[in-house]
Formats: sequence, C-alpha cells, structure tokens
Amino acid sequence: MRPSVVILGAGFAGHTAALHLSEWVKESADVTVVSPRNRFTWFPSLIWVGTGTMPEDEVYFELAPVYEKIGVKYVDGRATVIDTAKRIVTVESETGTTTVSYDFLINATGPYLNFQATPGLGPQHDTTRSVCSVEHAVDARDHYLEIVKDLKAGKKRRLIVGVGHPAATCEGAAFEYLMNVDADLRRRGLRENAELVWLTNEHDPGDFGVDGIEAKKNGRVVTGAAMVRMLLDEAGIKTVLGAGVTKVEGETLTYAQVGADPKSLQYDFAMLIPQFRGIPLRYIDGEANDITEKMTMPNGFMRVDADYEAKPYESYRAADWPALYRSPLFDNIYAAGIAFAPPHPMSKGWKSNDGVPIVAMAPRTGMASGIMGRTVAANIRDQLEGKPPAHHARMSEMPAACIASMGKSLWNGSAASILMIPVARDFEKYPEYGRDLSLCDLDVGLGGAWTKRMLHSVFMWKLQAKPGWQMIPE
Amino acid sequence: MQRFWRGFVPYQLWRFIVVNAKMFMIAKGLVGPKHT
Repeated sequence: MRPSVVILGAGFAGHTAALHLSEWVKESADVTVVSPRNRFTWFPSLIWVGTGTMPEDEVYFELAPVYEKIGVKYVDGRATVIDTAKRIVTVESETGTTTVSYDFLINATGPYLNFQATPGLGPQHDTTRSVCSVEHAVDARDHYLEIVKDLKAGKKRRLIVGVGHPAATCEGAAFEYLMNVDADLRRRGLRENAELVWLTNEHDPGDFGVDGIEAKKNGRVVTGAAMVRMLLDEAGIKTVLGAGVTKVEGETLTYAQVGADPKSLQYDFAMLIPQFRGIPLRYIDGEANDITEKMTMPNGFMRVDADYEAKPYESYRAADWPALYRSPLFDNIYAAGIAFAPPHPMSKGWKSNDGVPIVAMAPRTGMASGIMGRTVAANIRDQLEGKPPAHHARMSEMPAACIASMGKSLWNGSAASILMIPVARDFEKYPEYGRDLSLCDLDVGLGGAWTKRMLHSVFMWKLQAKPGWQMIPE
Repeated sequence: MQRFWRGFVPYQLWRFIVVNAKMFMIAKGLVGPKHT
C-alpha cells in the first residue's frame, strides 16, 4: 500500500505543498488535501474587493478541478481530531463525519479569526468590518459604499482602519486597505468630508510586525518608518500608534495605548483586523488522551522545532525560528504557514499604563507561507525516500517581498514595494541591522501598482497549476 | 521620494524591472541566505 500524505488546509502553505508533492512523490505516495469550501482565495487582493475596485469572483478559484488535474485527492471538510497513534484525521463536512488516514501530515490550516478576543468586534456584531475572507471583504465593501453615499450627500464621516486587538498581526493588509480607501475617495472627489484614522498596534509606523524595514538607497539608509510617516502625512491621515482595541460598543471603540490610559474613539466605518489564533484541532494519543496542550502553544498554533523559551526582545536570536517546521513529538507531522507557532514576535512589545501588552505579532502570510509549504513538502519527500529531512527555511533566513497597494489603477495608482532579506533579523550574520541592506529594497510609486497587479495574475496562474507553473517561484 | 518620481513613467518602468528582477532572484534563492 502506498504511503499517504495528508495536507490540512489549502491556503498559500497547504496548496503550495500540494502542488510540489503532486510533482515530487506522485509515483510513490498518495497526496490528499482536506479543506473546507473547495476554494483557494488570493488574499492579497481582498483589499480591492473591500473597496469595490475588484469583483469578488476574481480573487478565488475552485480547488477540486485543480486537484483532479494534478492527481491529488480532495476532501471537502474541516479536520477536527488528529489521532496521532492510529494516524487518522477526523473530518467534519456538510455530509457528515469521515476519517482520512495519513503517514505524513501537514497542518496548514491558517488562522482562526479570533473576533471574540475583542468584545463587540467584527461583522457578526455588525460593528466593525474585516477583509480577512471573501465574505468579509464583500461586507466591508457594502458598508464602505454606504459611507460613500453619505459623503456624496455632503455628510462628514470618520473611517478608522487598522487592527482590532493589542496583539494582532497583518498590519500591512490593513495599511493597504487604508491607502486604497484614501485613493478611492480622492478618485471620487469625496476625500474632504472623510476623516481617515490609522489605528495600529505598531509602536512605529511601518513596523508591519517585522520590526520595521530598512534599505540602502544611493548610499544612505532609508526606513519604512520614514516612508510610511511621509505617506500618511501627505494623505492627511491621522494616526493612533501603539494602540490595541479592547472593546467595541455600537459605534465607539475603546483602546489601550502604549504609556497611556484607555481612550475611546467614535467611528462611522471601521475595518479592523482581528487577532489570529490557531484553528481549533484536537490531538489525541494511543490511549485517547487529549495531547492538544503538548502539541500546541496557548494561542492554538502548533509547536514545531522552534525555541519557545520565553525571553526579552534583546535576547531574540535567529536560531529561535524553526528550520524544518516539524513537530518535536512526531517526526511525521509538520506545520506550515500561519498554523505554526512562532517562538516570539519580531517586534518589541510594549504596555499601556494599565498593563495591557501591545505588540505587532509576526506575519507568516503570502511568500513566507509559500516557502514553508515547499520546504515541508521537500522534507516529506526526503523522508519518503528514507532520508532525514534536509530542507530548512527559518524566517531568519528566508526573504519576503511585500507589495503594499495604495491605489489599484495602472495609470495613477501606487504601491510600496518592500523586499526584506531575511524576514526575522539575524544580528549574528548581519551585525548592524540584522538584514542584508544591499539586497533589501523599499520604494513607492506607480511601478509598485504594476507589480501588485502582475503578481495577482501570475500567481492565480501558478496556483491553478497551469502550464509552466513550476517556473514561478514562491 | 518626491511625488514627481513616483508617477514618472520611465523611472517607474526602470524600478519595476529592478524590483521584479530582485524579487525573482531572492525567491529563487539565487542571492541572499541559503534556504530550502
């Protein structure tokens, strides 16, 4: 009987792993993807759906036909229990409960959108909006267009964009949404009546949860902080930095702020990214004991080969970050993408006057997730060939490219182009900044808008396994 | 960067080529720390 590789989740990490495994091990193993809703979503473009500048059906495609084409089995459902002794995953779906056997397992389940961590936050309370899923982005668009109507009628409106929890991540996506709202309102000639507020848990603008960005330009070092500050100033956007929303009631949000007492702010429209947690999954051992606490961190993300010893910011090391993304308890279980538990944030943590910890958590999305997906696929290929896993991609050695849209138009749009090598700083290798600034890049302009649009098309091609997809890197 | 350069098409075309070439090289692992 052929060995079975089961992938839970079909986002950037899981789907990338499935694509590579379909090529690498198709002669020797069966590959199965378990994911609910039969859909791959290109998340970077949801900010355009949320401003009504891209139809929602352009940001996703059906997974089943792609998997049929590449010879991967697809199970439309949500994994709930992993029996680590019998090597069985329990899957819940609309049609009932089934089980899937595995020899190797990849947990690439992505984030659980933890709106509950901030009382009153989120579309389910009809208070704030989100762009973390297609449905949320459509909801954000509909409410945003209502605000546009009000602005057209000459009413003044306050729009708050940012993150909805003191320890949220994905500040970059929120920043893109903010700048696209600004660009859209200017295009409509409605910006004067709109007060835009950027509310973020970053201590400095442009931190983006990666401890800031720098690049060398014409012999001098430019910083993301200076660039983002300039962009916000130019656009006339008010900023609330080092802030974490703790409660939303009606159209008033309360937030903690670094070195300050709790404050409140009223809004007419708010798009706030919630805190992320690990997708709820129960792990059991051979005697049916629940071992979830051993397999995951308190935030629900899966423990892998990272150094989870608590330490202060000054003691963070490149080697803290996982290399293989493999469970320390089971050598046949991996986690990739948002599902793995980072050892600590990359950015420094702060506190409000009443002791609320405020920190921009580390993003693990997009390019980083794709690289992790390929890495775990390569390690499973090694193990299937009877070799020890030899592929590594610590976040302190992998690059990341981020194109932050600030207007979708290919004529007068704009985007910030950010290249970081590596993502997590490595001060042993690069003593001055922890990164190779000669390779890092930081730029803003129309060319970025072209790149952002091009990446949408190129990756939608690649991820549908269309001819030549293998030539497109993660 | 001054606003003029951000929308000046010849300069942005050049930057588009440079950024994408860099992005391709780092994604392929041709430059930077070795991974995978």
